[in-house]
Amino acid sequence: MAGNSKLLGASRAPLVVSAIGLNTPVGRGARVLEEALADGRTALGSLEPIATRSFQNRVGGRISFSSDSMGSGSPGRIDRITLEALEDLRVDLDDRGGATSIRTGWAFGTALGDAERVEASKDDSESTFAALSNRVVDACPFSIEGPRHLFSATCVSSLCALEQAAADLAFGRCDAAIVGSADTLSRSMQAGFSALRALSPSGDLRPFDVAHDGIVLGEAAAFAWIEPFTDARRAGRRPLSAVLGHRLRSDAFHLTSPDPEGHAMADAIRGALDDACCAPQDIGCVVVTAAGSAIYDRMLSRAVCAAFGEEVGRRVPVTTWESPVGHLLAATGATAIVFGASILDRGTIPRVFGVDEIDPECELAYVIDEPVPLRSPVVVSLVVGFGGQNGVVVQASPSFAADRIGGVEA
Amino acid sequence: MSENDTMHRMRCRLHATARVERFEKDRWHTEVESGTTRDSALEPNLFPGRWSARRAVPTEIAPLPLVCAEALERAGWWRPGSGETCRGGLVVAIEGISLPAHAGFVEELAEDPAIVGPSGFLYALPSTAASVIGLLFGLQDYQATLTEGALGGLKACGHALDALALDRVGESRRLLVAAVGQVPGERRAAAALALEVVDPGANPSSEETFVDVLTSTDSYDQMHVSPNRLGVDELVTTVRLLEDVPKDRSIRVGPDTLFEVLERGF
Repeated sequence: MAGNSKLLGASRAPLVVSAIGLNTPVGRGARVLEEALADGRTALGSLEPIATRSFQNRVGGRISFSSDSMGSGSPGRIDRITLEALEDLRVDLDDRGGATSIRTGWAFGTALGDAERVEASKDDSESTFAALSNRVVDACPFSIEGPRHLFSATCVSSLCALEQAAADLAFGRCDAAIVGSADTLSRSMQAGFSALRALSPSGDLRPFDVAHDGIVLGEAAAFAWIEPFTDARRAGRRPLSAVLGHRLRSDAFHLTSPDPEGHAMADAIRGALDDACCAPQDIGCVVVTAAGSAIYDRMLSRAVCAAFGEEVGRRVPVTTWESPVGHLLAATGATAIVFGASILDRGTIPRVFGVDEIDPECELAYVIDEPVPLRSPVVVSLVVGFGGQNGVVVQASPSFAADRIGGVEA
Repeated sequence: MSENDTMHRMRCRLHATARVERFEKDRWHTEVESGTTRDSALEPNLFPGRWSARRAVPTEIAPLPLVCAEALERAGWWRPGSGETCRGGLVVAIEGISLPAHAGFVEELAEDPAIVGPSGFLYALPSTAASVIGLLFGLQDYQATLTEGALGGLKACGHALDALALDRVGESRRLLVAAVGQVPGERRAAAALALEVVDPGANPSSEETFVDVLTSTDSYDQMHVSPNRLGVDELVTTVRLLEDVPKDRSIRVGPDTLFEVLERGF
């Protein structure tokens, strides 16, 4: 039996995303990110002084604060970025009917934690990942009385968190869960990716383009309020999306590079579609990550064609949010949930910019000229992480989910 | 946990192993008995086709590869030197290892940013441990890394049991749960459990131990834990207790019982 279909027992009701919070270098909120994509407005810029000439590039996306008490390398930047996203989650939830959860769970991910604190040689107990998570939980505008979890699986961290949150909801350990992730673009992060030769030497982010030469990094925090569909309906909330399927698979191929053929990613896509009871023909949009890296752009193209079949695979519109903000590290997985939910909520697929001539080995239907309408209300997001980690999330509009799954109480 | 709270029953075949390693003379050693040690390095030629014979198996995450190899070999999922890949997934808990690696990378960066190598950064990422284990043994079906601090090892166990109960792992229905952490005195502890879902009516042979998992509304992080305990201690303790469970036995575990065994044993 497909995993998610039995998550909530006999009702087979899916989980929904009832609210979102997002903080990226272009500003706060998914709407702001979509506007930046539409306008071709980038937040990628000079990383001096945190990056030096010896790095592969000195370009990235960092969040600026209006009253800037947080300069480069300040410990606590990740707390602030994360708490702002959580505040936006609270506002969005209030706008959609407010929290009625008695026990809210917390499933969080980060790749490098409070890197600035480590860089500032504050080698104390506050530098641990658990300390960061606890600080954020203590300061956030929610009362977390359910289980707390903390994952670190680079860019798929929050998809591990989603797995655990879904299990906690399935087994009744909490009534709703906050799933999210955050990372900052610290000096050591930029230096590490540079040492791994993973950055764009030109510093020019060119998703799917024949001139793509690597990723450009950004920082972010992203959160989704996840709860059973029935509970959202009962509380009178209007969810943004239903999470119908999600899968994690590993390449076991190389410590940093993906399997160029994308076999494990294709398996993950098939598994998530199986969870979702969806066929490739149902898919209205694919969201990809690690854009601008030739090896990832091409691998994801092959994986989509393998999982959907070449005819359908080459026809489904493909987009990414990375053009204006870069690759968002551990925040990538949660941003995939938030961005996918927002596409479903608004019914429009944002366009990608930075593309002049598509790489002939990237064979998908990339949305590059202007936004296009979402013709089928199912969005598949593909998240890749170092070490050959692959994560997939399938989201659908709540009405599609209700029709497809059935048994959802009004 | 009452029977009424039980949401899911599952029977698993279990193979467990645990080690405490001491770092001396640039090598990790297993304490065989008090005062005597055994070199615990894994040779790269145990992994033909999966790991270069010219590259040492990383000691940055020692002794995690060793305990994983022992658990997988006992489970019959992997044969040393065969070059075969294991079917199954992987859940890793890591504590107290990536943060010092990150601090070391920062120092290296401060000295000369032009000459920093990639490995310092790689091991600053907690998930690199899982990537190494996945690569060595070919575990593809699932991968997650937890950095929970206290209770990390047990929560990895809980995450794995949930994933198996909810069919998240694929057709193999197998997960290797592994944990590694720093413990006082230049030592590291590591433990690994190979878990495989079996038919609910199956009975253990004379060589096997089964666990009956009763997944419930209890949460693995609601258990009381001493603030002085380190992340993997509980899993190491649990695994050592599991190693002592007589074969051909079936034991029951759940979030509450995993805690109880720490206090009283099975």
